[in-house]
Amino acid sequence: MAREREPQRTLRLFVAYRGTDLRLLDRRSVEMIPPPADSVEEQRAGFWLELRDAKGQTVYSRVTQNPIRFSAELLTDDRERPLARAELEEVKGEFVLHVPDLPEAQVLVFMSSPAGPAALGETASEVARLDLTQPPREEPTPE
Amino acid sequence: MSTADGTVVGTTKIVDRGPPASRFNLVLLSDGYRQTELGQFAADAQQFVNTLFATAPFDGLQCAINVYRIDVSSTDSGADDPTACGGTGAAPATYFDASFCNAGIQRLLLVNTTTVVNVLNAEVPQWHQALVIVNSPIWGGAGGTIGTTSKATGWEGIAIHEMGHSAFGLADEYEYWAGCGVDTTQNTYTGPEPTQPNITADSNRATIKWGDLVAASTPMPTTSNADCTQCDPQPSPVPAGTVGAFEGAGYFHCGLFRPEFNCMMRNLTGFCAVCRRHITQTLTPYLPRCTAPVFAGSSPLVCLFRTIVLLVVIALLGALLLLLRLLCLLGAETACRQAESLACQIAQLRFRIRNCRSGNADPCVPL
Repeated sequence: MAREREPQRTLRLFVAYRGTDLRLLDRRSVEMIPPPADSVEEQRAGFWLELRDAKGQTVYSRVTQNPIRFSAELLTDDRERPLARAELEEVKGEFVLHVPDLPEAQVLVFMSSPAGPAALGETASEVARLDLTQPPREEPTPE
Repeated sequence: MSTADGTVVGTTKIVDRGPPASRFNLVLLSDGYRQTELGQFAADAQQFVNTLFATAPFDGLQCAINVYRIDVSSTDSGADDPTACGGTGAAPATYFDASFCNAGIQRLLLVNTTTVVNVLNAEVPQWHQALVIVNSPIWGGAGGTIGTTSKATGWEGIAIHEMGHSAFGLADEYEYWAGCGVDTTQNTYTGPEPTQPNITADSNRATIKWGDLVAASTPMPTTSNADCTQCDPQPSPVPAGTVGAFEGAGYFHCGLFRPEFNCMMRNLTGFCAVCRRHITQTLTPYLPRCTAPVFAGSSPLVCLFRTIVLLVVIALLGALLLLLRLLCLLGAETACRQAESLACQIAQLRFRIRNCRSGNADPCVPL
């Protein structure tokens, strides 16, 4: 009596960034359970992702760590306070995101408070988006 | 400094809790381990798994998580340690090209992400979270869906902290950015409520987002920082594990509150109750819907008696299940949920009958 959940599909996005300029390197749909959605109210601080449909309606949102690395978390030499952060000299790199593979999703929107420690308390707004209807801007990475 | 400097030797599912399409799949990869050191990598990977599954709430969520180990050999040991950040200048030839000293920061340890993604997609296509373990004793690491860690003392806890960010969206609970006495911009938070589940600007008992976990006897806020230009030096006024509102969190001395005095997301101690609950909620979709009960084996006589009793119980529950399914077909949603729960209970009773003699010690057997 197998009682596993219904198969689900997840969209895996491999993205290069320089600042908040994003470039989709690879996109693939995988049969696996995506991260569950979070409810996000208006006028909040922090970072979250939104999948939106053709009408601009949010069909999925998820609170997560900003994958665009503006700062790094570092181990200190203080045992009482072992962690601290440092801003990076250069904001560029690659990241992978997993979101549900929803047929109605047209765009992935990055909602964030401004970068920088003092601005973390400002209301989040759209800082970047990926058009999911377009092919990756480079050939998929070879396997 | 590339894939010419090593080989993907193979992949092993070191924790198998079910089909990857239905579980959260964590993958551990090696960099800077020579072929002869891959046994050490296996031990390091197991050490991480042991620490993870000894950390609440992961100890109770083991049925949700598969763990894979991808053995990747490198020509040389270690990672690049550029002199620009005061390093030794070592530049070993490794498969993922791990290097300290990125973006001007000595302890920021990064790898070639494209190479890692290619290996992950080829070896474990259904991966959710990856951690590259770099064979170096120098402090270093990075968070993200593809995290990195060196093997300096305590690396396992730091890697779990970073998973708290990348896999579960948890905020840092410490009250400074660069350090206590260093920051000049982190005095008081005046912004809107943060989205993260484990920090808040609201210390009101009636409205705080983790209010259901706060005991009536716990003062709110539980601590207040008397000098918002500094980190709060006071010790906890309540016993460890008390959920309340402790001022100083999310990189600010004042105006933001954390749920407990200490937490994995503050100072690498165990996860606080709010973080534990959020991690559990996030991983629940990856748990089997129905698992076998854990019980000791019994003698033939006891099993005979138990089987007779359980068959009667199953018959009664089966009749109730038919009724609930009928109501479910008529549109009663509550009946649908109750029917599913009851079907699981019946499956568990059947499992008990079938395995009465041997018992069952595995809490993750799906039914």
